[in-house]
Amino acid sequence: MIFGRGKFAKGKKNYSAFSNYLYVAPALLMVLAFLIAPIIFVLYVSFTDWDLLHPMNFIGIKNYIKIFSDPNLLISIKNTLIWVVFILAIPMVLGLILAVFIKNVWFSDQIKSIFYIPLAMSGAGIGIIWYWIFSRTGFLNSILMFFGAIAAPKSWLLIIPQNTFAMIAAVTWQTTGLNMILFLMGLQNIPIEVLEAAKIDGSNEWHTFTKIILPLLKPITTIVIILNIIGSFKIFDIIWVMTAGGPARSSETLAVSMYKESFSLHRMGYGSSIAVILSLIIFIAGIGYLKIAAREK
Amino acid sequence: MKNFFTWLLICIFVLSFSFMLIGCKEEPAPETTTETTATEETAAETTAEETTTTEALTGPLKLFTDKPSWQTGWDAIFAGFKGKTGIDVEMTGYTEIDTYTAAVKTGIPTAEGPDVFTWWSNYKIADLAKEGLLEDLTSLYEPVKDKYNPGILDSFSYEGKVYGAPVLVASWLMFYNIPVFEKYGIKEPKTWDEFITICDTLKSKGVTPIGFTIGGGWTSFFWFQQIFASNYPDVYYAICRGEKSWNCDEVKKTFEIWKDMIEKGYFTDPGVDLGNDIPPMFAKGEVGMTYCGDWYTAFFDSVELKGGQDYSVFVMPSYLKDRPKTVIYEAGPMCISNNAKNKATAKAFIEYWLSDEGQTIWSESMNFVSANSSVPKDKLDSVKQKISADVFGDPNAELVVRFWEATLETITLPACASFDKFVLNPDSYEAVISELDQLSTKAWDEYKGK
Repeated sequence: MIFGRGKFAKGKKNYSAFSNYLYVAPALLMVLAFLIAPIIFVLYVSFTDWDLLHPMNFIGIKNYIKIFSDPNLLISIKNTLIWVVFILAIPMVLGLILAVFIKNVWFSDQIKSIFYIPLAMSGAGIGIIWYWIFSRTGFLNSILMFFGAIAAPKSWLLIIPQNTFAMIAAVTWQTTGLNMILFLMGLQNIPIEVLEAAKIDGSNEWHTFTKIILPLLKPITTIVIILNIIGSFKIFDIIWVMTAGGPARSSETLAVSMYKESFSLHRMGYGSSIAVILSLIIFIAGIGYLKIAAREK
Repeated sequence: MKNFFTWLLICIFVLSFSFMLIGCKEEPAPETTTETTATEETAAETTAEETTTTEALTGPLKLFTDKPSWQTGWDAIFAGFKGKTGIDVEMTGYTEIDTYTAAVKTGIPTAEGPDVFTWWSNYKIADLAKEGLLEDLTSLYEPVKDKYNPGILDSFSYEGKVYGAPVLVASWLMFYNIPVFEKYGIKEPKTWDEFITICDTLKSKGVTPIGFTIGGGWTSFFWFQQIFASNYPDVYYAICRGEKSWNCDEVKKTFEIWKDMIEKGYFTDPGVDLGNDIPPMFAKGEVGMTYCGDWYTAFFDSVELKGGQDYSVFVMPSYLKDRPKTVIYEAGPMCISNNAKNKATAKAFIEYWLSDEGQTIWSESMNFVSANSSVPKDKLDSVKQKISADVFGDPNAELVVRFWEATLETITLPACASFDKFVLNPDSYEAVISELDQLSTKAWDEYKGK
């Protein structure tokens, strides 16, 4: 749409510009009130010792220094990195393998639907399902005891670090479908001529996959990697439902620590500083995603 | 034509924005007394005369609570209050504690927050009173002060003024499985040695003696609190008030007793769920006892266990032989925000709440032991009647405040994380004590600095 054309544009340029701004003003006001203002507020709070009850005192960068000396936060950072590594390794690789295998089968649409269903579910719902699987009276213990693998039920979600891997399994179940569909899109965009030329030249399946398909999938792979990095940094709901970061704060990630410090312990200043760090990481990853997506177009 | 549309859009925008601004303008609170029927007006006037204040009662009264599941009790008390004053009570219930505390703490500094709200005693109520956020309720107790235990009122006090009315006064006791006890010929223990013998007997019969969990992140303090406070109440209070280091013999002894119990296999797997797992295990006879606040009866109700028939309670004996009967208790208050929009109504509500009529309604509808000594106990179930007689009716029983309220809010939850570590690795107790000491020192330094 081109604004300010016609009589107003010719004779009253300034007025026309003003009316253009009026068109975007409602949306701008909303963005200012609900996005920009909270960001500025959180940024400001992160430099204070606000605890909801007492007045905010400016304490400089103390909260930011504390992040890297607080043993609970160091565990949280370590867990976040474990999440990033395993979410990149498991659901992404599984998604790629599934995409390659179902690309040419006649029932690929049905498979796609089945793997996509978990993505339509809420994180909290998935957390409850997987909590039940790993709980003391849950499915996993029943199966293991039935086959005699264990004599008594175990509380898997209290065992460190198995509890983190149990939650990674839950997220794998949820996100593999999306990765598979993204990789399928990438595979479908590979020109058939290239694959046929490789076949004529005597390339076997493995070589075609590693030397031709994978390099051609690089742009979509980068997008999948960035989406998974963003997802693993901001993961909260499944962890909160399954372990609430426990026991003894052992399974917290940065997002859970941010919530716990802010809303359980009411250290809003400290919680905000974690939020700022987390947002920066996700922002940088997001910029990377947008750049690659733009280059793709 | 285009110009016409441009101007039309501008007009729509300006009008919409104006309406938005008008819509955002704060409306004065409707004065219920002016909108009620003639009967309600008379009732309101009558109550206004009865209350200590002569201010007009306005409504509806806004109540926030973290206990929305007590709907039966709320409905009954709200109906009673409406019958007296003609004023409705609008309840906002929160099921998530963190959200609730944040909503109250950010709400009560303004008139937009709740008029009345449920809270926690001791340091938790003191935190709000210290900041001038609570209305002083001392004068409301004048007509009924002989009916309330001074110890309980102390839990709601800060600098000599009372800031809360009791919603819940729960004692922490050992629930035991009557069929299991009868099957193995076990009687309620009177001494620690008898208690340990019961645990050994149950263990030898394949029954887990005690249901216990660290699931949920807040329950691991139960046994620390019971052993420590019942044997060393003075040291317990001194540590909770930041007057003594955690690095002391009494704390060490407490952890050693607890460690011994864990190692002898007296407790269930700590991964069981307090509400979803222990009551069914109890019902199946897999667990012989469980220690909790007397509100735990609601969980037994959920698996259709009957008080007096399927389960009963006893006061946990102390490890030290010369200690009197000691019971941990928690008292949950109802407070008035100092910035309440309907403050006169809030005071009338608390006055009604404290009255014999209000407390009887609350006690009977919730099956709670009332803090008001005039309230009859005969409508309570047999377990609650036993609690009333054994705990509140025994002049020799020493009541000690629960750990959750006895110390700073900034200590309780992190301390539970330390207790979790101990439960998962009982050999780590010395490191856990050091961690608790550091946590306490830091929290008290911060508290005193504010």
